[in-house]
Amino acid sequence: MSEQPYVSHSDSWESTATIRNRPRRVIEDDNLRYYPMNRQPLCTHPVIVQLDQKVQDLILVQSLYKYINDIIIFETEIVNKTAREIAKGNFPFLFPFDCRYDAMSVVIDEDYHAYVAMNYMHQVQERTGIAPIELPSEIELSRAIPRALCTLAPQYQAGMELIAVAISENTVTAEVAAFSKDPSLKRSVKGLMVDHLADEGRHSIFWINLVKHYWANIDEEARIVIGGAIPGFIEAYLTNEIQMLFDHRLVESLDISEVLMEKIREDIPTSYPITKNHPMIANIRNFLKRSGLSQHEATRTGLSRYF
Amino acid sequence: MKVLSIGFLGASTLATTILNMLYDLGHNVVVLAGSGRELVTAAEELGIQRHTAKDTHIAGLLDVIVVFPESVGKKLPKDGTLIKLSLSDVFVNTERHGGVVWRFCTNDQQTILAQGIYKFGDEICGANIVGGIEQLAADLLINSINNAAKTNGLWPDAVATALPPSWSTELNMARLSVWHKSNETVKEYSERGSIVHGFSDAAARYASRTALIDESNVITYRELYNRAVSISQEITEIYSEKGLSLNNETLIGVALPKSARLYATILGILGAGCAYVPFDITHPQERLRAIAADSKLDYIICDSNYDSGLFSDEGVQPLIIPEFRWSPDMSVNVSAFPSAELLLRDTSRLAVVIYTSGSTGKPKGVMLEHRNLLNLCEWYRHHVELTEESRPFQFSTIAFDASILDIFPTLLSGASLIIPSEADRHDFLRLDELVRTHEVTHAFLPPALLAALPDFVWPTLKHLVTGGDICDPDTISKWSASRKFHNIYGPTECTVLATTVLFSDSSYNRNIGKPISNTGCYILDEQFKPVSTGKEGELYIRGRGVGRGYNSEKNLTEERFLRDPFSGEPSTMIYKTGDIVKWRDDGNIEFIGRRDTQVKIRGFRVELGEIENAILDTRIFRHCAVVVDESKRIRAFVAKPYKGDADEETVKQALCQVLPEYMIPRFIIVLDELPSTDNGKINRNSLAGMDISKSLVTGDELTETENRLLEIWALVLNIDTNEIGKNDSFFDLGGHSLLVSRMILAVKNSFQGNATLARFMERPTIAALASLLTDSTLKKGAQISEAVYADMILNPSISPVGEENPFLRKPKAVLLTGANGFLGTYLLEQLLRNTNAVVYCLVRGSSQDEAEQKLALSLLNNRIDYRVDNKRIQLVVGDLEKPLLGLDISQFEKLSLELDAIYHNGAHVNHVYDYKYLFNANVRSTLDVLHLATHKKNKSVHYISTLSAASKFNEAGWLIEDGPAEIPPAFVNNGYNLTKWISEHLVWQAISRGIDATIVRPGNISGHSLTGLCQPDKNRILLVLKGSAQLGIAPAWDATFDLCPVDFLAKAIINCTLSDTRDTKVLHFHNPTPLDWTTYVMGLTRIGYEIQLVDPGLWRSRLLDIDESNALYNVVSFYLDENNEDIGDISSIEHSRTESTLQKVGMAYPKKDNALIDRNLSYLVDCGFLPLPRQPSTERSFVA
Ligand SMILES: [Fe+2]
Ligand SMILES: [Fe+2]
Repeated sequence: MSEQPYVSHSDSWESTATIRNRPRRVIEDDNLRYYPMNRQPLCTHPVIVQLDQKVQDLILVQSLYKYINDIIIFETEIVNKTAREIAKGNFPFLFPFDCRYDAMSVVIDEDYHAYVAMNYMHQVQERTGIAPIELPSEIELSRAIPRALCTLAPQYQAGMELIAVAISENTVTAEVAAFSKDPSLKRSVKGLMVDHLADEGRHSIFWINLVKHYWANIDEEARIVIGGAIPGFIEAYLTNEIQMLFDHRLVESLDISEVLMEKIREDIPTSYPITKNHPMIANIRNFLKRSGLSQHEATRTGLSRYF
Repeated sequence: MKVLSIGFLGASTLATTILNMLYDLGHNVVVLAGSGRELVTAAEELGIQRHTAKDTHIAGLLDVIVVFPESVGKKLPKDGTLIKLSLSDVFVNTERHGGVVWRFCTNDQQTILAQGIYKFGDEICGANIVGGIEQLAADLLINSINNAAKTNGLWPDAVATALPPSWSTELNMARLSVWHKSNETVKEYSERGSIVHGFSDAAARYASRTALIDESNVITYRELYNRAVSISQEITEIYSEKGLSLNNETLIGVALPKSARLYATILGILGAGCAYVPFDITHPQERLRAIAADSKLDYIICDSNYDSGLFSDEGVQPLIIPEFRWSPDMSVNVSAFPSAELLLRDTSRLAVVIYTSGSTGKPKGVMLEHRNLLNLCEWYRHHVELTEESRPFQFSTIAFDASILDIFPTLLSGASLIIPSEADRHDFLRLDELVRTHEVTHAFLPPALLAALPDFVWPTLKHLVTGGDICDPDTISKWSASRKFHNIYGPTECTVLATTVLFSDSSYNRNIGKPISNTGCYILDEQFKPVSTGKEGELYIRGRGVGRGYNSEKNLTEERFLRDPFSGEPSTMIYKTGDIVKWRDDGNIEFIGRRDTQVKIRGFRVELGEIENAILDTRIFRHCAVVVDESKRIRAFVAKPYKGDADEETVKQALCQVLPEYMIPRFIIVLDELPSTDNGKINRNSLAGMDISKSLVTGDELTETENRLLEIWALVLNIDTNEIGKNDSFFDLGGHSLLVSRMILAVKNSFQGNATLARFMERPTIAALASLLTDSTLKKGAQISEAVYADMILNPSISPVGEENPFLRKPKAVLLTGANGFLGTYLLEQLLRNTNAVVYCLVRGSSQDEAEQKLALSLLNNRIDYRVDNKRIQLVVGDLEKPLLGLDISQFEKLSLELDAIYHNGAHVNHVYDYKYLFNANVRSTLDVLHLATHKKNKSVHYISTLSAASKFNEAGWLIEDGPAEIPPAFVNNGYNLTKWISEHLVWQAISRGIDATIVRPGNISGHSLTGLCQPDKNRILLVLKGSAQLGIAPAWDATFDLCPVDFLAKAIINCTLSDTRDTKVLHFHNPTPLDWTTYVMGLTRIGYEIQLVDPGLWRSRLLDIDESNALYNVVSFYLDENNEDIGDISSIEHSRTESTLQKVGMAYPKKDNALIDRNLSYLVDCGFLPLPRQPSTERSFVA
């Protein structure tokens, strides 16, 4: 694989980074929703459907809180852990300086995303008077990454971490797509997503370039070992456990009778099949192609069910 | 950073793009009055309000208004701060550029906000340049607006006040977008006026050269000319003899075999100033007749072999031209064509009407004029280097437009046309011989023929032309090897061809090249905008080849022949091809497919040609055609394997490697040879309709529910219904977690049933989902479906309205449902007796009369003293199973204004049917009653439930006089009790919202206290009694037995519910005075029955043997359980509140003494319910 020289995105960052270019999103005074119904199956439950509209609204607001909380964890604990190490030259694999200061721009973006998310959450609380229920302290990646790393010998762990972060940074777009087309959502919520996506487009390319560079500079054995660990990571990443626990807690917070609660809880799916049609899989597949990992025979074979 | 409010005035794509960008950035955008449709639609999609011209103050609310060039000059709001875009055509050192300037205008001051310049470079596609200029304009503006937002709305100082003078020419973006270098095809040819003239010139110049060579003749130009002239004279004479006018619209048919005479005749017709209509005599008669009828011919020129009666129905006369006698006197040019002078002046004269197959199957006649043919001839002669030395081959039938390409350019060049006979055309060896003998230099041969021809060596053939279908790569590489191999593309409507490309070995077979001389191609998107390179669009053709239209098909002509919107001249026409194509980087056009053969599979647009190419690329079969059948399934037909072991399976496996799953053909069928049409195209219609039943898998029959689900899935998954099998997993069809919720929501909106996510996920197929939805098995307790629990929730909108109604307990009007039922009639009686209210009686019936008779009969049967024509009885025809209680809106409205109280006593009493079946009558009716009770004014609702639906216990295990519990009723969890329990929940919630409602729970409603009159068939306990009597044994249940006479009950209900001092919302109406079940049953012995009390277990075991003759037969399942829930022990039913209410209204429970029991039992005997006892009783005297 021939390697293209790395081109810094710093110029485009100056002119397009949302921290530099976008005004704050302020909640509109309308009756639109805070969160897409499609993303919260609880709202389709026959019992919930019959309940007062306020209950559905409450579920959606709490779901937004969780989503925001997830973003904060993702940006500050997952992406920025790795991005900051790369930027400061503390990552076990040393990248060229251009990569490193671009990594610092990613750190800024991600911290800013976390800030924007927190700010919006604050606005929602002010406006709705709804306080968040206990929010998860982890996201799926908080477990999936360490789990993938611990299966590997120390010399391969950094590579796996890089690829795991790159994969997850490339799936954010699929997440956000669900919001953008929903006409029942508040403009500010959609705007939040659009703003985030505007930076993530740049990040996506950045991480792909980093992986390309890394992949080109390691030996075949390393590629085989790391490539072999990717399927396990993806599987752990796409689980539904934390969401399920949150949904249970959310149902318990509703002001409804125990019997109705039980009925709803019975109906929270424990998992969804991860097929190649899954929107996140489509993004992952795209990432594997663009980063060149799928050209690697052994890696591709291991991931064949997604192709 | 400041959110700016930005107004837009524009109409272009650029305006729309920038609007969306600024909206995304978070600014407030407003589309101003006067903007174009596209911008307004974009704003609507974003949910932005459009401003009307009346909003004159709008400018004051906006930070800035962006004005696009197309709107300069439109009326603007006063005092607005404007940013105006201007685009200039700029030449820098003769190189063309697009100049972009955003001007900032306040009051009288204009400054430049941003400017940039876009270099055209060697870009060949105008749409690409426009895209680039628009991108630059957008970037410049967005950048400026970002800066302003950062500085809280401060705009930068002027960067320059004036632009160089070379920037003054306005850039016409519309014209630029349609420009393409490949369309620069203007070429002027020497003036010839008409085909007739061109041919006359050639005949004069090359008089003694050979013009035609057919099977038996070699004919010189002079001979051909003389013969043509004499035919045209003959035609003129015949027309004048018959008194028919011969004008420039006259059509004459030609139906002759391929021979020298055929071409002389065509020239003769043209020379007479007429147009010819070619008939291929080998075509089916049906088609020929259709063409004759459509073209309204007077004459068809044929030979003596031709069936002259063929067109008699169409009124077409055969005109038999005598055999040619090629006599020496033909050696000098005799005279001129009769209409030569006329034609010289009128190049728009009709020359030919050639029929093509329409998509409807009806042939349509394409009208081409002399000018069309001439441009083609001139271009072609130059393009393929036709000279008098050339020897072109005339393979195609004259009914196919390619024949025009052979005939006229040849005869205008002095070349010799080689004519195969019909027999030659179908015999490869004779073809080969002909081509070699006559040293053919040029030929048009269709792809299917080329693909089928053996490896002949034709060294003299310098120019081979093909087209009309896609060539497979094998054919291309074979035929392009030692000659120029031209691929031509074009509809007949544009005179044989519009574009062409020279194929070489490695050429892409869908490349159709560039436009020919004086021809242009527009590739437009659905909004009629030119697309940029690589983007798909529909091909529109302009230029000299565009014909006149369709003969006698005005509508179709208007549909396909359009005014050229990009040309300044109103008369210029373009032809809409219906073909989807795209520009390639090299300026050639790539054919993608027919607009009408594009199929959508699983939401993806599938191009059949792409699949064809993929199949050909596998190099397993040489030929292939992919079509969709009626059910939109992809069929691939393959023929001519490369190797012997090739079969369907190998193709399928190879395709799976290269194509996404949705593009894999459902059927792959191997044929010896692909069928072709007369024109040498692959006959795709016949393939699409071909019976391939041996490969078909018969689909399982779908139920109605499954069919409806199919529709929902297709919608949610955005795929076609026929792509979904009932056992396909939702997730295999492209579903994912987000779509699941959407689908379940859609299902809930159209089905009552129980389809929850978790259950669906267990087996995510249509079949399983349908069975979840229709599952009617009765489930107990925890298994009661979620849907039932959902029904328990009263719509939040139902709550008291307006002011309090003072007549709730002293009603002036009352609605009684189930008025003709057993209890209903007694309630009616009590309402009439104890109130002054008008009682509206809801009775089911197909008419007022029928309902009235029903009620009258019930009153009579139950010995009620009131008659149905009583003024206070108002009959209302309704139906509890129907929405709004079966009332029409006006009745509902009227009642809602009049009523003060509702006694909801009606229900569908059935202990066998399931909940779902009873839902409408028993639950939805309650919802409707509650709706009625809170509509317009407040009313009391007294809901008649049943003690078996009571569900709330105290710690001692007593059923208490309270609302329903969340766990299902204590007694029978059958469908009926569930409906009552759910209804109680609805009423209880209504009570909690402040509606004056009561839940009345009667126990065992027994016969009238004085007469024993009852309706035993509907009372299950009486069925136990009868069944036991029939068996001679009764179960010795240890229970306090209830007997609550209907007259007492009715009186108690009315008095208690109307009581002002009542302090309970729930009334338990059983009769708590002591009586054992056994005492009751043994009452039978007093009236002469032999009956023994036995252990309940023994009794139950006997039930297993009963047949239809036993009264318990139909309900036996309820008693096979040890826990008989029917005959509850009423000793543990709370009644203190009810009892004290009774005391307040001055009532007391009747005694359950032998007298009461006997009156009951005797009635049962008298009415024939119980069989006569074996021994006549001695104590029958107290029958009333
Ligand atoms: Fe982010
Ligand atoms: Fe990111």
